[in-house]
Amino acid sequence: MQNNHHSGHPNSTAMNMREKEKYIENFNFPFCEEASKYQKVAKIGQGTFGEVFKARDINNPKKYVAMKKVLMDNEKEGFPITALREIRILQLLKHDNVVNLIEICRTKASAANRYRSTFYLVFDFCEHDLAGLLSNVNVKFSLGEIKKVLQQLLNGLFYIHYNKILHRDMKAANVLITKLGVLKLADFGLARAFSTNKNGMPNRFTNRVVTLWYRPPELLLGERNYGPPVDLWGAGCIMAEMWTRSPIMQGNSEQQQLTLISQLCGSINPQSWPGVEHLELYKKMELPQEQKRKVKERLKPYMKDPYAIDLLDKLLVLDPSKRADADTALNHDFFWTDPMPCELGKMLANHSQSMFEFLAPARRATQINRHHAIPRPTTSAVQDSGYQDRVF
Amino acid sequence: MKEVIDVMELQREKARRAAIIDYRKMDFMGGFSPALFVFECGKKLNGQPLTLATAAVILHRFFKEMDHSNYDPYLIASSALYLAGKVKDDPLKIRDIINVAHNTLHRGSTPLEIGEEYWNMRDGIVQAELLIMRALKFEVGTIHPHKYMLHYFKSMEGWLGKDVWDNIPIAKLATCFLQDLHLDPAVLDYSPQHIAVASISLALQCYGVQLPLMEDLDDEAWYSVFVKDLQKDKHWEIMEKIMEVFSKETGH
Repeated sequence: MQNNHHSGHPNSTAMNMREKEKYIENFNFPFCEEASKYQKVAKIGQGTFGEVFKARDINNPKKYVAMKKVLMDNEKEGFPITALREIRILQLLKHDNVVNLIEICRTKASAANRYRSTFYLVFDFCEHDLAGLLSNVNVKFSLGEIKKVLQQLLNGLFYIHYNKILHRDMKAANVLITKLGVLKLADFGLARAFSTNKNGMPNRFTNRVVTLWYRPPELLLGERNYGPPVDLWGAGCIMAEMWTRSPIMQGNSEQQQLTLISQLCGSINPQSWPGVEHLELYKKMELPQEQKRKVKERLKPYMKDPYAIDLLDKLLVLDPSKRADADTALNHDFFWTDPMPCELGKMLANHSQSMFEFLAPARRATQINRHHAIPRPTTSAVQDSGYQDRVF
Repeated sequence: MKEVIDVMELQREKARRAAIIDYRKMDFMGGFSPALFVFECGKKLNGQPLTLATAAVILHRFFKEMDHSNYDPYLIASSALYLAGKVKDDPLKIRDIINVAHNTLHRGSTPLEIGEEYWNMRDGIVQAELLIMRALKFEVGTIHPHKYMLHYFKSMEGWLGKDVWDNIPIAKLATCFLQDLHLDPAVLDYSPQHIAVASISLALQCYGVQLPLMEDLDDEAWYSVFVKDLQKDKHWEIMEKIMEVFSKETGH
């Protein structure tokens, strides 16, 4: 830069092109190992965030990991700020119910990739995701097991909120479960840090977050000064899904989602939700009036346990300031009455096949009443792990 | 506390006073710190103080890991600023960084045309960013002494009384000292709490301010209410580091 040459390697004037290439290829990063230390086994996810692979640690063949590729679509802007945010959040969060980031790996720079490395976030591998488990009718949860799932989910949320992080993409597919039954919140690609209003100034976060079916009413109405309650709405949706086995409100537009919410939770208006009239889209969206709240009566056919229904009723609350927080939810009698939460490991041991939503796309079309979908025919990719990966 | 300390204004004031440096003539190996370049460019870019502090820490950490002679310090400094903007959610535009860095190195020159040199510089900054992250294990966040200092200020305001606090700019001077220390790699060697305390101590001494009720307690330092694990000699050592930076910077 100083002398109008900018290469980050020694004596660049003295090196010819070939030497430079070799230098880059062989450059050693003591804290960032090569991705080739893992061997890809199967692709287990795909989305706006990029691709996720299951891989085996070559030096420790019993150890499996998930590798999430960092999308570098705009290389002129350098490392994506969103990926950097995700990494920083994952480095901060260390909890049994949050997915564990092991390290970040790189591919070797070579002529094949124009001397630009690809980066992977490497996580401990989890055998299942909740959406995949729920879409498989052979997987049956007892009430105690459902309690264990939800208790871990809320524990994870309590921890991240306590650390001032919002997840902002709660959904069954982002809830991972290991074969031993330990639940892990995953995909912090949309997560961000929050603080309760700095110097009285309201936050101006984007409201274009959370998958539509799990998006809370305040976001649908344009709120930008939101907080942890957005994740608890998602937790409520997931809770109901533990019994209904498919997402309870499957809107195909923001407008329709609001209509579905109103039909389930009652009309949105300043009586049910003081202050809602100040939200940006309150006047712009059609909000069905005269709707009665039917959370309890609509879900009773699925959820026999009165404590379960009561907790759900406290999570699916329109007004975010009255929605239960993670701590309140964890103290609910649901978790402290018989049957008590019980380990999932035994039940999961009956299923030797990994279940991921990605591998079971049929689920998305299922309706709330037709939850006896037949799992897709599968082929197995690997046998030796004891877990077969369904690939199609 | 007198409302808030306008650190941005402090930055601007300092920029006006600072001597004009020809960075191309500075000898990094001879002990000159390219962090000065980070702060000069960062101020021109209107970066937040914590963004500049982050950039300086990234720079020092990078050169702690890597061999100095292999890298252009001003490329790494520019890239550290770019990365720090992302880390602190205070994004600095790469185009602005290029223009500011170029003009700071080549004073009085016109902005770079969009051409080979511009694209090389841009590519260099982007590539160096990836290099830095790999070298630092992608751990590019820092725990700043600033937040501890702010807490200490809050307590001291009541302790000293509003009169003293409002009339003697202890907080302002301590903040300057803290920034000065970021010019030196020594900023990596001490805990954020200790750095905050030492910056305040130095400011108290400069103004000859004694904390009430502390006179008779010779063997107990005033800061023991804030930190328990700061030894006296270490406390001195940090203050000395700050003074060294100060004399290096002003050329005395």
